[in-house]
Amino acid sequence: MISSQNLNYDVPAPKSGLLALPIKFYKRVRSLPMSGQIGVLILIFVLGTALIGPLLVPHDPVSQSLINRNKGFSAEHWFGTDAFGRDVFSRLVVGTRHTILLTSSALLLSAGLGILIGLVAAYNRSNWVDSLICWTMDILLTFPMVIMGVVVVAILGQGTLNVGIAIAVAFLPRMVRMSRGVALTLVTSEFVEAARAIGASPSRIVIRHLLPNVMIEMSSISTLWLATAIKTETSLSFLGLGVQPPTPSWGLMVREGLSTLYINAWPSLLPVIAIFITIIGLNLVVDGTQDSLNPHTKDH
Amino acid sequence: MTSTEIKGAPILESTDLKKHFAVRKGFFQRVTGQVQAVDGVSLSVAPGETLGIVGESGCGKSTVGRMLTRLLDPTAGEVRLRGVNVADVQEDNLRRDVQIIFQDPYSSLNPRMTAGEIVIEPLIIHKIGTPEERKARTEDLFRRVGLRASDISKLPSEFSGGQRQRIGIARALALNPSVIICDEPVSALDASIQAQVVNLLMDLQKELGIAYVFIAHDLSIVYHISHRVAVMYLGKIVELADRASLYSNPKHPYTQALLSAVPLPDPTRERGERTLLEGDLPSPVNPPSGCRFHTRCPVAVSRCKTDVPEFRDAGKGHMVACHLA
Repeated sequence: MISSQNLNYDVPAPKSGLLALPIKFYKRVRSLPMSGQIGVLILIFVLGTALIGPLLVPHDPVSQSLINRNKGFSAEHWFGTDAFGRDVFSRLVVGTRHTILLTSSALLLSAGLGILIGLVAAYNRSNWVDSLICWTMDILLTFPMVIMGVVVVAILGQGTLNVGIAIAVAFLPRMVRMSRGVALTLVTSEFVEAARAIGASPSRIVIRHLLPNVMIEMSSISTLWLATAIKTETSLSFLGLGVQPPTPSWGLMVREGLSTLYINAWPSLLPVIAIFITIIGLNLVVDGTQDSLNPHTKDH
Repeated sequence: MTSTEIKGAPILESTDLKKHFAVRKGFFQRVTGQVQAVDGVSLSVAPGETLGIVGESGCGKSTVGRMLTRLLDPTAGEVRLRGVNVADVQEDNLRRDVQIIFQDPYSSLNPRMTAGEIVIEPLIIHKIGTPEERKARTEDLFRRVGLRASDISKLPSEFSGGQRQRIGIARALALNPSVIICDEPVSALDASIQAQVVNLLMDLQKELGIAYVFIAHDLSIVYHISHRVAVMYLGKIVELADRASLYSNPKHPYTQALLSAVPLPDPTRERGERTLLEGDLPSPVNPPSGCRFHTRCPVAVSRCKTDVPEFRDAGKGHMVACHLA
């Protein structure tokens, strides 16, 4: 989920026209190592499925058919049907939307808030603000991610939105610690001192000077964490705390397929494969972009 | 005050400036000692004048620079700008009047801002001019420091070290300051680039009448640019005099040792015997008693260990802190 907006900082004056951004994006992708390019392809495929897939699916993902239960692969039902006779292919595609969009928007929320808190903590590293933030985040960090999700869902109640909030809360301390760590190396550098010398306010220093300099690290680590977020969402849905049936999501599909695992494993197995491919794609992209996003390899 | 020929009232002066950093240890962060980074520094700069501060690493010269710009608050003593204590001056006005140029041209520029954004930022912060005026001013500043107007949209990583330092100078000039603290502005640059940047600073001084506090460890560059020079050792000024007087007739043994180790830009001068300093700079946590230099002084006598030498006029305003001078 590294957006092209984070990639274009070193490209000179953009060519005008509708194609400028896609062309730039294409050039950046082509400059990645092969594994990164494959990762980008996987992510484009997954994102495309999430965004437009649900409009194109051949069957209603929630309509049941008792005579069509547990069917194998066929021209009518590409990936067969599940224990309720629902089309597995359609459910998988629609589930992509729920899983991907839910986790990435939860992660964006968490990143937006967490990065800012982390920067404020780093800027106030010598006083009580930093201590307070660090202690709070340390306490939050002691909960394993899924337990944290369970706690939040238990407090707020079930539902898609609450699962998103649960994921955002679970990732918040990680975002804070990470951005604070990256920013700590920056706050002592001379350009921050220079900003103070010309009279920049603390909020200006945080937003104009620190934020742009942690974005590279944070966007690549967030991409990696998206994989963990997907796992958390699927775990919560698997536990029955996430997306509620009959709405499909990958985790929920794994769970619903369990009862018929020995008769027809595909309804469970296919979402697992989808999760696997998505996580591999994310990791390949992060790996591939590490070098080309690092300003230090460009500088010298 | 401490100066010989102040042209008019000093624009920036400090009195008995001290900066002690607490040394903390253990789980409860108990204060177990004080690093006396700067311990009683009094100096002054007149408008249009350059005061050089020299000394080895760790002697506190950069800390003095930070306190003069109020990037650090002094533990004791005061800094006065045009005779007014800066603690009472509105920060906004101070920022306009006292600027700083940093040592490292790489870390002193935000790598994610273009050169133009860096130079225009002070004008935006202080709400000076309309956007068009700011843009014109930025272009003017670029020309003045020897950069092209087409450089405005480039990122710092596209410039060389010397050019980056010029961007830093343009940023410092943007607010029309009357004093610029130059914290080792050329020590990270190549020798040939050093000369260019120093000459640029001198030209700007001639044109704009800016006063400089020029902090460096390179004595020949300080000789080139300064009107008066202060020598610092372990948080204190040990000698302060006119450039000519200090370089031709150094009175403090530390200054003599420093000068004997440096090739001077004057081939006609006889090089005296080299004085080699023994040992390392003592720890500022636990500075030596009496004269702080006595542990390494080649001519120290017994009273140097017990009595703190007075910082006094040794003739014609040549100030020195030594019992023997």
